Amino acid sequence: MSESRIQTAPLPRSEPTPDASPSASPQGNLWRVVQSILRPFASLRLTVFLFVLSMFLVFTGTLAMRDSGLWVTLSGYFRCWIAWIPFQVFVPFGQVFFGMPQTMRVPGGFYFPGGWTIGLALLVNLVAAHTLRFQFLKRADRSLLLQRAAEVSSPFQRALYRVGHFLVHRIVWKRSGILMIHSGLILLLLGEFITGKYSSEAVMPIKIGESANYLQHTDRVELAFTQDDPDNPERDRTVVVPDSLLRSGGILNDARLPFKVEIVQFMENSRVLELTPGEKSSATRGAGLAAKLEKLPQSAGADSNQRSDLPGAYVALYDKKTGDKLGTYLLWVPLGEQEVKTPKDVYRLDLRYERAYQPYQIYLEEFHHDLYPGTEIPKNFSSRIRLMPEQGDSREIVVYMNNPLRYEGQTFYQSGVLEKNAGTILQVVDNPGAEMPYISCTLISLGMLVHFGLHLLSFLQRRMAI
Amino acid sequence: MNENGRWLPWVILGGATLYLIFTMVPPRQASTQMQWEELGGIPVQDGGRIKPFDSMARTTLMLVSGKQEYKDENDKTQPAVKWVMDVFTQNVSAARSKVFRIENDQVLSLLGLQPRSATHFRYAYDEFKDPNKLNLLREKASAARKVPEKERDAFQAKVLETWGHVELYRAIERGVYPRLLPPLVADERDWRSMAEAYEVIPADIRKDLTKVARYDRDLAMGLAISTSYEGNNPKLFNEFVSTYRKSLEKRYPAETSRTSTELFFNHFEPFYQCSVLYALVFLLSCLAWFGWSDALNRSAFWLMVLTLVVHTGALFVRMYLMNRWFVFVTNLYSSSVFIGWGCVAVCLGLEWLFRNGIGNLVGSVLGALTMLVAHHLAAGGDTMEMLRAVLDTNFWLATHVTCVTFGYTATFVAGFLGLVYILRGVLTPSLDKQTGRALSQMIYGVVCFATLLSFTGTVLGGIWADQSWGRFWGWDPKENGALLIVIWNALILHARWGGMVKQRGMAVLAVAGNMVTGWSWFGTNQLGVGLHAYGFNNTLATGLVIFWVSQIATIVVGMVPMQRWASYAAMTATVPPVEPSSLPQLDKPVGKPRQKRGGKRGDAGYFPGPA
Repeated sequence: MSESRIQTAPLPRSEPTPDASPSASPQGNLWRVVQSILRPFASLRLTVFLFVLSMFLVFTGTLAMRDSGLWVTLSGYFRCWIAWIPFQVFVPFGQVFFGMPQTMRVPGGFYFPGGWTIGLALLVNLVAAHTLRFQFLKRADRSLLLQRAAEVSSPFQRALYRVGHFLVHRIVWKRSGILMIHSGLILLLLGEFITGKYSSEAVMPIKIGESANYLQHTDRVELAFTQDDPDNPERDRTVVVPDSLLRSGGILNDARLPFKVEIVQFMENSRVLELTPGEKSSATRGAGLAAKLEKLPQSAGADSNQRSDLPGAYVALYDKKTGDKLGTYLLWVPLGEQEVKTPKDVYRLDLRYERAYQPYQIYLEEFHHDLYPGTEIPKNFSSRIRLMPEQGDSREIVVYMNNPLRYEGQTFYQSGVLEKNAGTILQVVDNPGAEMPYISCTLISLGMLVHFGLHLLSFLQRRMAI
Repeated sequence: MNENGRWLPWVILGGATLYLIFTMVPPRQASTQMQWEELGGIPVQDGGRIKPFDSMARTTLMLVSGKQEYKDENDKTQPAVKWVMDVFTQNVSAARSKVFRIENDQVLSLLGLQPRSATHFRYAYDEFKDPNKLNLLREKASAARKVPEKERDAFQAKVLETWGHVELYRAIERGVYPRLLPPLVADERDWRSMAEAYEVIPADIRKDLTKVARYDRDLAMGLAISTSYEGNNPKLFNEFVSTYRKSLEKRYPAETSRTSTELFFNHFEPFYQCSVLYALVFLLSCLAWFGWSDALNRSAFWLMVLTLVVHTGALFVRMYLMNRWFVFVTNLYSSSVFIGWGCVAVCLGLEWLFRNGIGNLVGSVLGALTMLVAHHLAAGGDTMEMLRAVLDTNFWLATHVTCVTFGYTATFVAGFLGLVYILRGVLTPSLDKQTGRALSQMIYGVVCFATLLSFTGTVLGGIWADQSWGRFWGWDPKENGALLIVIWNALILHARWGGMVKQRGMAVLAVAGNMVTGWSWFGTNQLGVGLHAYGFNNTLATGLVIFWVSQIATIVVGMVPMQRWASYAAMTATVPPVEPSSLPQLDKPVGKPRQKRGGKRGDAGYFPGPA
């Protein structure tokens, strides 16, 4: 069997595509210029090279996930233009497989093209290759189908015959599989780009018998000052300091804030410990007098128990007018609200995950956490919720594992359970690119079936003929 | 073809069938002895499912000693159920049998034990049951438990493991494990342990079994069985066991029919039998190099078909036992068994197409290897464990997992074909043009297959993830591993289409594919992060490293300039050699001469077979 038979159509070197005639027409010349520009970008060598780069990136990203969180890895490796890969990421690999010492530290690192660079390069490579190789069969001006198209009167039927003519006479079926695969791939890359750029994930914890009307973004925190609204007992007045300001630290003096606020220390992930005898807390007021915060490394986001980081902070408050220090507070996300009393007002101070209020409420009617009999292995989690939009009727839905609720572009998944089975944690995802993988994957899988199927058929035919 | 060889496949098939039938028949013990097989069939609730007592005993013993049988104090091999029975009845034999496997020298010195390779580092409970030693062990274990799992060193891990075994032993001794008795109220889900049931019986009537029976018939039967065992009365023991089994069969018909099947499965050990037969296939294919190759290759082929039938049957029995139809893979163990199955099936297909003995060879090697891996993975406990909530969906398990595992399978087959190409080419002069081309076609076809399946499988996984937690792609280590396989296969195809590699290059790349698959299958789990990290096993890391090193070695060998390959002359010969060289016939398509175009395939003579 000749080698060329199982190759796909090779890149046209100098010969023009059938449609672009080699005549000296201006169009032909333009096409040649375009070809000469595109050719280096369309090379299969480049494809293979990019594959190698992407494998290396995926591999190092996987290793990096062991020590830094999923989100850190995502933004530092896959969803960025340039990645910085510290040599340290290879150490866990050596520890697990080659018994390297646990405490080993390797300084330094190197720059590497990030996920978006490689993705874009692949996209360019793909589009260039297809532009170069794009070809129709020689125009078949006369076919039975075209004749019929001329004969029928209904425009719909005529269109049908023309499409039929196109499919039968002008498409290179041998390459249709490849075309499907690659257009699917383009969609997939675009979809991941859209997801990376525009999707958002949040959680919605609800206790049994209570309702919630906001989402929590667990990768961001805010510092909230809440005060009862004297005009409306059902509402609160809240001023929040956003995540970015908290992280940059320093002193905040804003007209909207009731105090001058100093971010003494901010920790992305932390835990609260009891003081050892003789130790003094950095907090001078509030709930944290007998405790201290300990900084923890950011947890792996893809952890099997899907735990989020628990940020904590020491925050000092000053009177705005006099500048007197009111005290330093220990704040920690699970700790909840602490009261700050001034002669005039009472504020509730809270370091909490960033909230996004929604035009609906969700009431948790029932929550089940089933175990396999006689074990601690979870069998299922399910939440019976009542969805109550601000306008319109409420309805009841059961959300359980692998059975989410889709509503207004958001999808609610059963994600976790509050401590002591007190309620549910729903994960709420808003991803405008959610549909793209479905389309692209169908395209690619079908394309491969067609492409490899055609190969296999012709191979088997030859085999049988022997 | 050699007429003399016609009988050989029949003889070998017949022999293998007889062997299988022979191993299927359960051992019969004289009625004057305790019927362990009968006792093993009693259903118990363990690990969230109803299973035969035999399975529970085997997995417990496997955890503690690394084997499913043990040697009692008289060095006589005994079934696992007897050990559990001895522990429960506090028979001296239990404490004297050497079943605790302790290999870590720090743990050994902690318990004041000498490293003893003669008993494969197995020790009797008696040797370390001194309370001082056990207290020391318990203290070390509770200290180790406070260290996060990822940061434990070998000693801490082993101390915890050993202490866990001791606790298991004591739990059986106290009758709190396993849950032997069905619930008193029929619609309760939780079964009861002997101790639990015994506690609620008023103290004054505990001695009188007939009175106990009025409270709790099952407990009375359990007590009767253990008392008759203690009294060494085989006749009564057998009678109680069979009465109890019958009464359970009446009350739990569905469960008991599963447990009886599982009991048969335990006894027959179909995957073990398969590994034996695959080894035999390998032997036959090797013998075929030295002559009589047609008959031997045919025998190997049909023996592999028979083995695959057994293998398939065993897979389906597992599905029946777990009550998950078409879910082939639920954990690392079953993935290994299924990858083996897929490899053999693909190789049989290749052999059918190419008829050059290579499919037999690669299929049998992969079949035997995966069975070996599975055997080691089974040491982790129950191989039919329950699935955590997220994984508990038959649809996705049957589609995504099956598909992606088949992708691994095909990548492995391509890689091993690459191994054959390189090793035959470099080490033997037998890789002529025609064989080389056939092998390269095989690799190419299998890589195409692998790309399709691994891609579709990976994507199905993405869709599952999107359905269950809203992320199509979570960049989870296991997902990334699957992605690496997809990219690698795509790379091979593009490198070939672009003319960057030819036969040899593709073989080398395919071998490297083995490394990628090894990483994705086991390596990512070793890293110990990720949602998919369902199997963590320290010894696997070593095995994986050895595997990688061997593949790298092969790749290096494959990069040796072609002029130095032993097959260089055969590969560059302009005319295919007429005279077969030192490995005759292996690569010559057997059957009708090639020139006869249009001949029907069925009469090709290579596969007259038992059909």
